[in-house]
Amino acid sequence: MPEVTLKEITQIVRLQLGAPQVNESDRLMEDLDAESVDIANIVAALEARYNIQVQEAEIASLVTVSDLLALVNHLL
Amino acid sequence: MNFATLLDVLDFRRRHNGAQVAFTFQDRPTTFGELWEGIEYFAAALIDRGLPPRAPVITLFPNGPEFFTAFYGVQRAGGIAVPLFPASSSARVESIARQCEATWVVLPQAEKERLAKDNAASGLHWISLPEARRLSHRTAAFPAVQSDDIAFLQYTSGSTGEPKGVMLSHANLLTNLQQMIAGMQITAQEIFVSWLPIYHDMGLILKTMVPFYLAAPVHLLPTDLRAAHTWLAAIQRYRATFTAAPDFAYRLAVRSVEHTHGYDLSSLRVALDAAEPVRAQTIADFEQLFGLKQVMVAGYGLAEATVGVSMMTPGCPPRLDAHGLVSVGRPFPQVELKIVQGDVDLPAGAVGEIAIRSAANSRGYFNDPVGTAALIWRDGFLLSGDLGYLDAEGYLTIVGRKKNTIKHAGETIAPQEIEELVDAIPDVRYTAALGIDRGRLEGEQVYIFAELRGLSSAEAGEAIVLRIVNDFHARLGFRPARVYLVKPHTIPRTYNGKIQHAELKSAYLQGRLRAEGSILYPDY
Repeated sequence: MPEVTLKEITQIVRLQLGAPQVNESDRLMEDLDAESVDIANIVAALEARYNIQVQEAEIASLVTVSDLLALVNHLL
Repeated sequence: MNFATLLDVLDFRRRHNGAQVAFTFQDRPTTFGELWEGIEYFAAALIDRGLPPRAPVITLFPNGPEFFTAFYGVQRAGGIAVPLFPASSSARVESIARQCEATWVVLPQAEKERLAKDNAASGLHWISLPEARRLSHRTAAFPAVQSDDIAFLQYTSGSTGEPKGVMLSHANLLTNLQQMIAGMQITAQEIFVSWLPIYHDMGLILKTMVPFYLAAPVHLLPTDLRAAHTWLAAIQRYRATFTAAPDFAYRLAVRSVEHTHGYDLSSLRVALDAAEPVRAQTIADFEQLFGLKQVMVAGYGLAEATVGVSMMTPGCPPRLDAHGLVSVGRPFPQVELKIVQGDVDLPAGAVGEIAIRSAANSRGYFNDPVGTAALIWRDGFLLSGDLGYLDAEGYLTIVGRKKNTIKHAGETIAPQEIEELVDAIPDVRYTAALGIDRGRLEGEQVYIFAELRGLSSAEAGEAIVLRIVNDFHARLGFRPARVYLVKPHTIPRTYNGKIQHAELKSAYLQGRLRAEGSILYPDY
């Protein structure tokens, strides 16, 4: 299965947070002003987009945009 | 004038105003004499064919003279009219026929060919008007119709989307006509123009029964929310004094009429804005664009109270509260309102469910004792399902639907607040906001569906979504869970323009929006 690209993930993060600019190293909360519920909603979007299931426990450990990328590629 | 039934009104008009034009449809006039003759021909045909007393008969006609022939013909034959959206699917017609135990369906010839063929086995009798006319011997004796008899069933979508047939008696209807005539100071000198569906409450009762009752001229147009120009041109041409539409139609008129094209709407005395949440901005924009002053008035009503419940007094400025909500005025004469929560009456200013007491109140839903029991509060009050408050001077303001508020992190949000905010964004045509709880930790979240005319590219889609998310965040302090840009007409609405949130929600959750290609952006 082809890997999900950073480009795809940053686009979803931009749409979910309304952020015009999103980089791989950005921290979701500190740099992108996300709240925990926004992260839950990003995860729901990733689940819908890639047809994956994310456990609640995995959500708590997500800190940066690159964590999202790694999570999706791990689950695919 | 003291009439017992709607048929008495029309019979009186036939005798006293027989040569007078009852209405025009697309400029073609029908006199009261012609109207009554058509009704009796058709009623006789129904009786000849053995229509049982008080049998519900479904009618499927678009705006036009045939609607009245069928609608009143059924009543004249002693039946109960069940007017439905004329383009209803055969499944919808069958489902309502089952609910009200109707076996007769009257419809235009072309529709009969469309619908009757996939219904050979359903046990329904499909009759077109030309057939009925050929069969009629016009020798039948018409049964006596009483004021307490049900004139028609007004089908509405309940909050969960199942159809409910509101029973409206002749007495209910005549009461509400008199309440609205008195409350809006309507006279026989009024000139009505309407494109509203004549098979549904505001378009049927306010815009055709009221003028028939007074023998005031009414000019009817085909139903088309998009044909703002036709509507405005008709107001100008006929020097109309009274028109009515949901807020959406006025917004559309403002948007589609970039400059006024010289439309002169100065004849208008009343432009009623009702049937969906009324926005202060719409009133300001419409009046400014056409140079009108204190012509647009906000009103409120529901099928369960026949139609009209309250309205601002024509000629008065809109009344806004601290949140910018527009008051829908005081109740019509002989209509009592209170605000309740459970069994308790709430004081002025407190938000609760609007309860209504009026002789125009329906006795309930046809064949639905459970729904009817839930509708009736006590002491003759019915529960509207709408949330609002009465101020110290007795003016009503609607806050939202009881079953349709969004609960987010313990806060109650009216979808209207979100919809208004998103509708203000350029390129967005129409918006619906839903609360959806996926059963996860985050609880109920806001999903936004914004109709666009079209989308030129994914980049354009992203820009619109970002704008929506950011405007939402700036206003409400949190973000929506999902923003979808959808095709025009994706958001289901009632014939009067009320958003059917429950239907949209099930279409979305069942994956129908995606399957039907209604979602333009994004692809998840």
